[in-house]
Amino acid sequence: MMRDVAIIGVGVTKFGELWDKSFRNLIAEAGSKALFDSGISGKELDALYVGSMSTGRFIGQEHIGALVADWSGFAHMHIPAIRVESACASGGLAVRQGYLSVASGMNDVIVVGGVEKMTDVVGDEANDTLATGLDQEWETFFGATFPGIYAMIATRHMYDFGTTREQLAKVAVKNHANGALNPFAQFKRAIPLEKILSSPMTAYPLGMLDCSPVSDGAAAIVLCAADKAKNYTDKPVKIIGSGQASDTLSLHGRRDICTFDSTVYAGKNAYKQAKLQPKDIDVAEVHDCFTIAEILAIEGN
Amino acid sequence: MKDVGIVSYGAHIPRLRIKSSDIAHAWGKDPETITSGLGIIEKSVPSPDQDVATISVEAARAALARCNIDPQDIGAVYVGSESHPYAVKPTGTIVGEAIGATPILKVADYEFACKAGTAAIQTCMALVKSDMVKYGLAIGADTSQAAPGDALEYAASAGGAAFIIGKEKVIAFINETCSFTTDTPDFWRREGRKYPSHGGRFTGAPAYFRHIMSNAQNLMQLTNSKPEDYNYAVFHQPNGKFPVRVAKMLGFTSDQIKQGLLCPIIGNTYSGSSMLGLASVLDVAQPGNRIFVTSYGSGAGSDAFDITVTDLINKLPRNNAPLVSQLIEMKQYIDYSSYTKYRDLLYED
Repeated sequence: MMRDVAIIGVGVTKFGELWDKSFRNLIAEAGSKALFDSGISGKELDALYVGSMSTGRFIGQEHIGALVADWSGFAHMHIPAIRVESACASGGLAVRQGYLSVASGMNDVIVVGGVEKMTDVVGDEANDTLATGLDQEWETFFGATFPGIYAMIATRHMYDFGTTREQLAKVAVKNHANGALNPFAQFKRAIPLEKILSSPMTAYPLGMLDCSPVSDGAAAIVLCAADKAKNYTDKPVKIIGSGQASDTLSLHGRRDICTFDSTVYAGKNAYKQAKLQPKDIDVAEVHDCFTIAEILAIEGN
Repeated sequence: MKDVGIVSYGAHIPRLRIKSSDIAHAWGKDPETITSGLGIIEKSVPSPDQDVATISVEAARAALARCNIDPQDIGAVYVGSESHPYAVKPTGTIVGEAIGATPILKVADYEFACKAGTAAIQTCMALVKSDMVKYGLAIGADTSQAAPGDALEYAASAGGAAFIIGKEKVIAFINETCSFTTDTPDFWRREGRKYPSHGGRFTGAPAYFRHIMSNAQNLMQLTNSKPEDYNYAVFHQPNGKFPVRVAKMLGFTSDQIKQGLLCPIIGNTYSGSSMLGLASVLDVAQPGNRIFVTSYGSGAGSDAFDITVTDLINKLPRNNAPLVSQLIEMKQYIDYSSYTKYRDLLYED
């Protein structure tokens, strides 16, 4: 029997090359902002979930479930602290795992955070670390990188559907314009289409501005059983649907390289639980690591 | 006004040049992206028979050619570089002997990445001011190496400048100097290693910009001055972009930095960088001109100087030695294969 879950507080740090902020600084900042926003003091927490892709390679630190709980001041509470990893979906998956633990009745109030500190490595190290999210033996070992993999997707998309570089670039134009409105954004300037198109080539057809940058940042939310949420806030936001799905790791194993079947299935399950359809959605936030990634994400859902 | 200043100055830039576009071609990079991204068109390359000792001697002799002091009155020689020919055996003694300043002479070699030469100026100022020496000779020179294919390869060049510091016959008073230093490892080379390592984008905001901004602002506060009070400004030049950006951030105009901005056409001469920029300004400076100099050395620190040119500058026969602009024009291009041969990048086992 699954019960409803609500979000009762949120916190986010600035994103960028944050030379003065460590991994610990970032997650503690996001977490404490979320707790403050929710009105809980911390002793109500039943568990802590944290998603981060590659702390081992970026900062030489594993075991971050325990670290984050400790660094947040909860070590004496001895609550379960769980680290979740699924490459770039680590944060999203942490939310799902946290959601399930509250929906199932196991936990009443938890905090879920996502964090990455990428700027303590130099040169190609960040790219190499990200490439561990690909298939090491069949892709990474042979020199594939994330830009390279997404470039292949984009090339096929252009071949199958006549998608143009301009259409890809328009994703970046929109997203940079959104960034200009967000005080937490790494880049706060609108960039015109011509500049996106003329940026140096990273992996054809993706230019530098078709790609997301290396970044530091963290965000956290406090989840609560919906029937208890009114103890903390007048404006709980309910999670009304959640889905998760997997697919082949390697791009060449996919049924269709221009479709992210994992997001299609995950989306289907979320829509089904929520009893909604895509047309009912007012705002969509999708993973736009590359301009082509956003296009596949919205096509799939 | 402090009573210590520059008595004479000299410069040397090796004549060989390689274009950024040729280096880019060698590594399969787009030359236009590189050149416009770094703001460097070409850089100087030392010939096989040139090193920091020869460059320092050339610059020191140029300084002496312009003034008529007795070299025996030079009481100290400090050579700042990050490419001294020897790890142990000073460059300064070679210079001292070559200019006839030995044996009653204080000498040491200095190292602080790109600001070793300006640290030498500060030491000479103190020795002169305390009457421990009559004249001090401060030199900043480098023939820095960069790993083949690394971003630094487009900038690491060769050159140097020498300044005779004294109390008499001063052509430019150093009104004030201050420094800003932290332990910030943005760029380093371990003992025994051929090439330096660097922290990528970490060399920007937390390193170059933080130290120059802080130090420059401190100097203006100390001297109660503003950017508009200066005719010229010289900043350390690791590429053609950083000095332009930091000047703007501080409130200096592109006109003020133009004369001292040499990196786009000779590259980053490391310990010679700010010093050559200052020499270039002194080549054209007029009495009463005020000059703002801020160096930067990785590791990290900055030395800043507030300088006022005196009437004696027009009595200095500046043409007795090549002007920086003349050294820049005396050039001969080489291609990347010659460059690898001269820079010892081709290993014989």
